[in-house]
Amino acid sequence: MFIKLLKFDIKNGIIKRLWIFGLAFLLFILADVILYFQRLNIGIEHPELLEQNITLGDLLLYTVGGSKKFVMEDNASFIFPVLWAFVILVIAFAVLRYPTDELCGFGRHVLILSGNRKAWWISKCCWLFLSVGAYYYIMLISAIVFGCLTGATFNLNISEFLLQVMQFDLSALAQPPWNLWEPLLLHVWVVYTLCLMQMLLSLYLRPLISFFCTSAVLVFSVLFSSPVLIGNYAIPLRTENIITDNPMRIGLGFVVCTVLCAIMLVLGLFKINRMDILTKEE
Amino acid sequence: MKIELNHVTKTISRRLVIDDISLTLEGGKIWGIKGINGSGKTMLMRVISGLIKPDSGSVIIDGKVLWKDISFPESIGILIEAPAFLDGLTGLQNLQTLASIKNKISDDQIKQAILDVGLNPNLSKKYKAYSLGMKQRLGIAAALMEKPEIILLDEPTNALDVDGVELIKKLTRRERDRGALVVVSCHDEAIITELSDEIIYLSEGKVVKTMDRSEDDEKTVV
Repeated sequence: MFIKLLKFDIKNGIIKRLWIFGLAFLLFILADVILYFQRLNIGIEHPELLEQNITLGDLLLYTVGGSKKFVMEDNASFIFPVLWAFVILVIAFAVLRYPTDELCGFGRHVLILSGNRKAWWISKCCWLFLSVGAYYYIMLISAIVFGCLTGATFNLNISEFLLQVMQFDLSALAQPPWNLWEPLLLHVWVVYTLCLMQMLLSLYLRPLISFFCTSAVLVFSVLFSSPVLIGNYAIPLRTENIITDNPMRIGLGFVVCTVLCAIMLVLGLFKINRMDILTKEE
Repeated sequence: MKIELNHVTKTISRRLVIDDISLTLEGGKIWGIKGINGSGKTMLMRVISGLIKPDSGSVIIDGKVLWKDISFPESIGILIEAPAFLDGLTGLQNLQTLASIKNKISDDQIKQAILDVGLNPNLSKKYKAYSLGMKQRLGIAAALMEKPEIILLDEPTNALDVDGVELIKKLTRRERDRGALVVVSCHDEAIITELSDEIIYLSEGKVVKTMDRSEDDEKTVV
């Protein structure tokens, strides 16, 4: 029964909503284009930086890199990572309504016919994982497409020029090469954890309120560099692969998120097993 | 098929919507539920279908306790509130999607269920373009197509014309005659009186009266 529910969710929650992924593709390409022109601008003052090819890692880091730590000091420059937050909030919003809308409408028939509330929740967790995975897969595809068009180098190492764009002091960074592979995987895992938290909250609160909770976690994570705020693990620029000053430990990030996912999976099962299924208005 | 409700109580948003209801419903009969808006008709159907959990009391379906032994009745067709289907699919595609979950019935049987409610199974029109009456008919087809043992129809005659109402009467009787337990709620007194074998009167979440129409035996619940 679980497989049937999952197939249903893949068909209705992903395949029939492919336009969302189409928009995501355009968003990622746009980010790549902006980076490309920023690089050309920097190249006017520092032509030596243009000698080095842009890498796939640069394109991805520019989109999901986030920002360096926020330090509350006079004259300290800090730019809120709008693109990073936007990229996460797009997928968080895209997956916001499907489970609860489905539960109030057609999905109610599906749930009753399946006869299994637990299978419904587990199927939704899997659907969410596939949705988040597909979103970041699209990001990778768009970077590869853009990379092919601009002659990028196909590795996940990060170039020096990009860290300059991100306003980093190069002397305070970890030893190069700065590789994005692990921080990127952690970023995806954190986003899944946040979306799972949002889906769980949607069983208790209105979906829009749970979306605001996700947004709040992101904003606080940007402002306070603490391992307790899991949004920090979704900021590759704060991980040990890039910086040396109190970095976010990637291993710890995976452990924290995995534990949180397990807790939310169980809480969701607990809730769905006792939950009244009413209409949206109720 | 037998449904037993034992002292079922439910409060939603601090409002008592089901107040200590005890009932025994048996298969092979049409059970009509009568009551004004807000009397608890829909909530009672939701309790039986497993959509809402009673705060106290139990619902036993053929010896299996709902919320304990089973999450939902094992063989049930429901139409509660407005029918809800996928807008981008045709009526047939919607029912095929639902039927694929249990894989119990063939395409021909699905088409027959659509024909039974007076719709054309080969209609290429998407569900979103259906009229209210067509949506209602499709909702009834969905509830009946797998020939379930329990059928819950909440206001099945909504948005239907005179012919549609007659069709619903015919279908519910057909289902009753094959042994199904049919529960129908309707605000139209004439329809429910004509259709039901037994009538349950609800008021403020309580059963105030039951009536066996075959014997015209009226019982007032104190």
